[in-house]
This record gives sequence, structure tokens and C-alpha cells, in this order.
Amino acid sequence: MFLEIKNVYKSYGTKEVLKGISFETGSGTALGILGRNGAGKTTIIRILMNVFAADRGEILIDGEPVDYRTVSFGYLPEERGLYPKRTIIEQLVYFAELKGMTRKEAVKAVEYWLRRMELSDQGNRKLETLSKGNQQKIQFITALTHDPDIIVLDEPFSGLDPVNAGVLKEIVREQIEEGKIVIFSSHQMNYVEEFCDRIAIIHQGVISITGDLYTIKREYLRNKLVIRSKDIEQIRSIYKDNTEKMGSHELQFTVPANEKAQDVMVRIINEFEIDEIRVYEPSLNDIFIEYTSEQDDKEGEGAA
Amino acid sequence: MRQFKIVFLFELKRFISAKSYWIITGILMLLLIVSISFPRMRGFFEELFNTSSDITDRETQTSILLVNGTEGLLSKKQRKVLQYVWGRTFPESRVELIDGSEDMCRHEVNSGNADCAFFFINTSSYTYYVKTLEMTDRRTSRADEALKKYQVMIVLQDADVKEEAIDEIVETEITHVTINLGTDQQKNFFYAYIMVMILYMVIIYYGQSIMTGVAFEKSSKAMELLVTSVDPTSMIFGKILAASASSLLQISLTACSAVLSYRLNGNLWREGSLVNTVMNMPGWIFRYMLLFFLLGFILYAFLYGAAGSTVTKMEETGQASLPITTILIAGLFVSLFSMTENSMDSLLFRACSYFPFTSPMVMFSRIAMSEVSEYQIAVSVAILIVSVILIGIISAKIYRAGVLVYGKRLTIRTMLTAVFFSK
Repeated sequence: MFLEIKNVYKSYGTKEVLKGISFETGSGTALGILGRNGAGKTTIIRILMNVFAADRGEILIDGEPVDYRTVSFGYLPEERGLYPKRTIIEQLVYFAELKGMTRKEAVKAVEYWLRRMELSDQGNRKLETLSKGNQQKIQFITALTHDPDIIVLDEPFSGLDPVNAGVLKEIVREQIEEGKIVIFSSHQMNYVEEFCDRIAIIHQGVISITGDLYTIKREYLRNKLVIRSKDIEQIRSIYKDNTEKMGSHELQFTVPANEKAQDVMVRIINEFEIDEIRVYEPSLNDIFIEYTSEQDDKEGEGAA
Repeated sequence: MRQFKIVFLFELKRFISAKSYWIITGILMLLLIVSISFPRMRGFFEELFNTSSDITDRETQTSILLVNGTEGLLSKKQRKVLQYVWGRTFPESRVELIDGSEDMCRHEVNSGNADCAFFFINTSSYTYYVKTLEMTDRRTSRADEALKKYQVMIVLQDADVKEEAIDEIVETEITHVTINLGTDQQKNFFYAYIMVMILYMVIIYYGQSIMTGVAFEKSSKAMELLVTSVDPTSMIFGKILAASASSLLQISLTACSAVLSYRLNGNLWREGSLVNTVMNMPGWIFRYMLLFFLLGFILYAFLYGAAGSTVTKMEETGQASLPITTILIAGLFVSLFSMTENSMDSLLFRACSYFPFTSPMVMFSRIAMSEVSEYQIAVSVAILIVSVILIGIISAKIYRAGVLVYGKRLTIRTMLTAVFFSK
């Protein structure tokens, strides 16, 4: 399955929130949609989920306009909320049935997911009696029970402790391995970096960069090394024009223009006692900051 | 259809699993059982406290003062006749004729020595003094009759007519039988009144409940998940019909308790009492009542559902429901006013019996209290059914547009755009 968002525009009144957004992703891939507050992430997700229509543009599955009756979506909205006064099983089965499952299938699937989330014994409790983290896990189940083809997660890890985040991470990884399309929106770069093969950074309603994360990183100049060693001071005294201290035992080394990074690495390994040496790659955080701050920042507090 | 069924069952459970639902049903059932058992309970308490109605009657016997202010104009014979006719007219009271003034009347009534006083300055007019004029006080019309009788008796006595003949003339009991070939407005007034009041109360109660349900879903943010899982028409129809079903269940249970209580106590109510009249409602009136009740309820329920989707905070529900409640109250007033003023066939009333927001109350009142042709009823019902469907679809569109607007109220413009331009 191949999903394409093509040239999507959306305005709220006179404010143009999306100005021709395009990106694509396929089965077994996780795509991270990144952007600053108000960039239009939630708007594009809502358009994808058919919450409302785009003013212009297309959403295609395998080249055809998406048919929401045949392609199933799992959705974890940014605005979380279920029925606090109803029991957990009752509402999970309700949502699964609305997504087309029979009651029997729904009950079976809900029981499975409650087990997976380590919440089997909580099924008959009212939602409001659960902790915030557990409520979030219940919300997560609503996105998964009906075994959707495309899973859209808007800020899935916000508000979770590391243990609960770990449970969810494992499940997301499984879904990717099962060949689902996972679309992710988050401010937590470490999670995106951990899961997503592809990214799309939205800034002021346009895509400022999209593509394979590994390739994006490789496109950066590979002229910096990261060195970890107990001989940091010695290295600095010899190469003082090329080095910059990063921590007590770590420094960054800028490779001179007339040399190759590999040659420098070999030379340093031979000269000093080195714990670790690698070519420096920008983190997703660095890329994000670069692509969302170099342009004019006049974004408002829109409904994105 | 499948989604509608799922939403319907989920929402029905929401209504009928609420504690408040059963508490209110229980209170209503109890109230009706107790009210209908009233004669039995009264008998039971009288027995318990060993009181008999004779004693009560004697203790409560009223005293009526006839105050002669004619200053000697009444002859002895006239005084005797006056006392006689008054005694015959008010057999349940002690009647005393004395000479005196208006001040005396005031004093005697105010001090409680007399329950009321009739002050005469001549034998064709009087002033009636009473401390509290009760709603059911018919003493003046009885006194008017008595005074007429008095005049006749005096004239006949002056003409030397025999006393037996005079008695025969003035004491003849007139009996009559009414055969009503059309509508019995007196009886049907109760049916129309009850239907209008129940419909009003049920719409207000359930309308608010539907509205807060929608507003709560919106404020709890469950909405975003819902609109991506179910189409809005199934959603709002499921919700509204679930509310209708649960209200019908509540009313049926309450009605069952009333019927049961009436089976046990019906014979203790006197003929023509309100309870007897209501419990022996003719089948055709009941069927119309049910039809107009259901259609009216569903129509308003849709409006409340749509209004609930336009608010962003629970506090705004009152403001959003105001226009709907205003139309409802207008319908209620038109119905009650026309019923009590007996202006069933006025142009306003007839127009309101076709206008869908008032027709459930008004057309039913017309059917119950005047002559309406089947063709007129059919037109009114048809308009109402079409309106229910149209309002349902429009509500679904407003609901769809409204549920995702957070932070500000849905504007009229957005609403209209949603109604006319959304797919």
C-alpha cells in the first residue's frame, strides 16, 4: 500500500494553514510529521482522517483517491477523550463495532489488547478511575483493535512514563513490522528518530523537507568527527584549530578541507588511545531546528 | 443502518443505566400510585383516627348572615320568605337574618362569627361579604337564584295563590340530559392539557439531557474519534431515537403504575372526577396523543442535539438552548391560551396546528377539543414527518460542523455553510 498526500491546501477563514503540502509513505514504514506549534500538523492529520476536507489537493492510496469505506484507519487524536463514566470494555467494544467489527470479534480483540497493555483486570472499571497514563493506553487501544491498514498517531507518547512509553513503543514497532503504514506526529524527536524511516517537516504551512531520514542525514557535510578518549587534552593541544570540546571526555573534530575523514580517523586511532570515533551526523533535533527556524517566523496561534 | 443500531444501543444504555433515570422514574411512579390511591388512603386515615364525616361536617358547618339594611322596609312576611328561600338555597349552612349595617357585615365576617354576609338595601340587590373568595365560591349565583325565587314567592303570595301551589312552582326540581353529538370539550380539555404539559416537560428534560450529552462528548474530546468512526447522520439519529426510546420507556412504566393503581382504586373515585376522566381516555385520543407526542419529541430532540454541538463549554448550553425553548414555550402558550379562551378555530390557532414546531401541541388540542377533518390531520402529520426528517438531516450537518469547532461558538454563517454546502 502506498499513501500519497498531494498538494493539499487548507484555510480557516482568511488564514491559510496549509499551502500545498505533499509527502508520501508506504507499507511497513513509519513517517514522522514534524513541525512547530501551529505549523499545520494536526490539520493535515485531520484532513487525512477525513475529519474535514481539504480546500484543494488529493489523498491517494496506490494512485487512487482514498476510499474511506475500504481502507481502514486507526487514529489516536491529539485531543484525547473517551467516555469517563462508561466502563473500559464497553467503550472499546463500541468503537471497534463502529469500525466494522462484529461484537464477538470486538470483544476478543479488546481482551487481547487489554492483556497486551497489562490492563486485563481493569476492563470493567469506569475510565475515569484510571490513571492518566492508563487512560492514554486505553485511547491507544481504540486505534488498534480493528487491525487498521494505516495508523495515525498524534503525539502518542506525550504524558507517558518511560515504562508505559516502552510498552507502546514495542507495539508500534510490531505494527510497522506487520506492514502497516504508521504516521506519527510528535515534538519528541527521540521517539521520531527511533521509529521513523521517513520524515516530513512542516513549517508555516509548507513542507520544508521530506524524505528518508538516513538519506537526509547523509546529505549533510560529513566533515566532522566525534572523538571520545581519555587523551582529549593531548589531542586538543596538537590539533587546537580543528577541535572543540563537547564534554569532559568528548570533542568534535573538524576535518581539514584537503583531507578525507577516513584518513584522519585512522591517524588519530594510531596516535592516541581512543574509546570511540565516528563521523558526526546531525540529530533529528538539529535538522528540525535548522528547518523550522531559518525561515521567517510569523506563525500565529492557529487551530492546527 | 448497522452503525445507527450500534450508536442507538450504546446511547440507550447511557440513558437507562443512569441512576437519576431510575430515581426519577421511581418518584413519578410513586407519585401516581399515591395520588390515585388517595380515596383509599383517606378512608384508611379516617378509620385510624376514628373520625367520621358527620362530625367533620357539623364542625365545619358554615354560617351565613343575611343583614337587612332596608331600615324597616321589609315586612314581617317578607322577612319570613327571605329567611325561608335562603335556608332552602344553602341547606348546608346556618342562615341568620338580622338588621344591621355594612360595618356590621365587615365586623362579623372579619371576626369569624360568620363565614359570609349578604347585605341588602332592597330586595333586588345585595352586597356579598366574604373573607377569602375561593376559586370554587358559587354563593353569589346561588343567592341570585334565591332572590329571584323570593320575588316570585312574594308576587304569588300577594296574588293569593295557595301556599302548596307556590311551593310547587318554586321548588320544582329541573332535570336534564345532554347528548353530545360532537366533541366533549369539557372532558377533552383535560386530555389536551395533560398531553401539552407532558410533552413540554419531557422535551425540556430530555432535550437538556441530549444537549448536555453532545456538549459533554465535545468537551471531553471523544468527538474527534467519533466523527472518524461513524457518519454523523447515524450518530445523531441513533442518539435522538435512543433518547426517545428511553423517555417512552419511562413514560410507559409510569403509566403502568398509574393503571395498576387505578385498577385497585378506580371504584373509589366519583364519576366525572379528573382521575376517572383521564384513566378512561378514549382509544382514538390516546392514539393521536402518542403520534403527536413522538413526532414532537423527536423534532425537538434533533434541535437540542444540534444546539449541543455548537457550544464549546458546558456553561454555554443554556444560551444555545434558549431559541429552541422559546419556540417550545410559544407553542405551549398558544395551546393553553386557545384552550382556556375556547378559541380553537381562530386563524392563529389553525396556522399553528400546521407549523411543525407548534403542531404537536396545537393540532392535538384541536383534535381533542374541536372538530378537525381527517384531511387536515393528515396534512399536519405529513408536514410534521417531513420536518422531522429534514430537521434530522440538517441537525446532522450542524452537528458535523459544530463538533470540531473548539474554543469559540459555531457562527450562524458556518452553520448555514454546513447545511447548504456540505456533502
